[in-house]
Amino acid sequence: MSPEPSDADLSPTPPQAFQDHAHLVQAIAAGDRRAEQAFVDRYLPPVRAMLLARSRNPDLALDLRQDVMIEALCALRAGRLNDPEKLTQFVIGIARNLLNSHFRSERRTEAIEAPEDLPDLSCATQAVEDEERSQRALHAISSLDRVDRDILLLTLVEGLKPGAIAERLGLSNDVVRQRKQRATRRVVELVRPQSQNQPDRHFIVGRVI
Amino acid sequence: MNHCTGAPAELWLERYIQGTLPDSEAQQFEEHYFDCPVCLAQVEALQAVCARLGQLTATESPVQQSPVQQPVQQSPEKKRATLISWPTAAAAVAALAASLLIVFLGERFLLPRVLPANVTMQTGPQSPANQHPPATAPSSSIAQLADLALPPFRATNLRGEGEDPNFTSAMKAYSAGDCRAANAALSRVPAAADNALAAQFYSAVCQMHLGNLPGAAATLQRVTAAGDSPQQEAAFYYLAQIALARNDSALARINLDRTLALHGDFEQRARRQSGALAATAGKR
Repeated sequence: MSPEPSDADLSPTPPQAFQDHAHLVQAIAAGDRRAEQAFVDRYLPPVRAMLLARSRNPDLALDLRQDVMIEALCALRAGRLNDPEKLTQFVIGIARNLLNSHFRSERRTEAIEAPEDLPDLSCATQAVEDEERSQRALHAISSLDRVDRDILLLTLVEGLKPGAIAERLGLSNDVVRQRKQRATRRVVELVRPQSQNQPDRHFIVGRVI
Repeated sequence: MNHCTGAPAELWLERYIQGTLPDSEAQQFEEHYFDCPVCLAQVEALQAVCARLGQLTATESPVQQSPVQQPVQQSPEKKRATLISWPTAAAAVAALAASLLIVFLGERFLLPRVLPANVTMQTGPQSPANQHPPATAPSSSIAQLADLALPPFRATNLRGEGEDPNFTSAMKAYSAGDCRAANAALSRVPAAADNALAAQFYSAVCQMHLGNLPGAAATLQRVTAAGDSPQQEAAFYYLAQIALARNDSALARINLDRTLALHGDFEQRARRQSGALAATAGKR
């Protein structure tokens, strides 16, 4: 549980100010708890997505994402990031290293020494978002016709290629590819938050793509 | 501001989620979506779909397996990401399991009384309406699981309080087992009436009972889409039953999961049915 923030932590720094990498890194190094929370809010979702994509293990992804956050925050507190513009690569690097260590069964025998005054890593808000997303996924899947659903399932879950799917379903390769592409687009559109359909409403930290 | 229109996700998303994107491109994509909420949302969306699809296959494969399976060619990148890949070899066993399934089906048709009483739920809740036989004759083990018996009418308010007269007469006909008369009266319930959603639900189960499964499913979908309501859980449950009757086990699973998630009156029935569905799949 996070301790009460000190007076210094309650500075009226608006969250928007942390959208700049340099400011965020500098504020964390200076002990600004709001900056730390902004960092966690900012990076926890993509870290989880990356860990899940690379491990395909939701439990492992949930477990490791906290380790990634703790390790990154400790390093940022200690001022070990020289170039704030490389903050994203820095976080990705930590995530990748922890995942690789896990896969090599070389994971540290000692647990990360987590400071007691960490920001909230419980991710209650994200858990709600996850549940909502999961429900939308369910609706999206049920909105597909059976063939499209089977194609997605065979592609995404069983890892079959269009040729194998075509043979199994008695369709041509082209039809499978076309239906797969269409079904993927459809479910993604249905599942992602509606606000994401308006990219201009979203900031990104650091770079503009 | 982020002006990304999702083009990187368009290019890489599917292969990234599958684990077949070369590592250099995967890293490139990661560096992009870490800073791009538009593409991150697409990654999260497809991951959520994968998770749900994975739940569907946890108990069964929705596709009839061909006798000879093509080996899956995996790239090195694929291998790195398939720590929990699906055992495609299990699919090859499916053909052998088919004979067991046939035996299983035979037992179900010929010896229904030796099955656990609550597995198939053919009798349904006690009500005059249940005197009618199911609308469709199940033709497979999955369809055999379908519970197409009419649910008893349960008033959600005090008798007569704010109730549309058409709804009242419809429910009288329904309780007497006259689905056609009930459906006709239900169709006259105004959309703005307090009982409108209940009218849709009972109309759907009447259609189901009369054999119009597509029409019933469409109506039930509208009930579930209306959100939280006294009929929502039952609507999911009967959507599952219709899917079972149509041999669509994947859709049945989805709707049984939705029923279970609501922890209501149909939870136990849905849980038993999920188990029966899994057992059926397991015997394939």
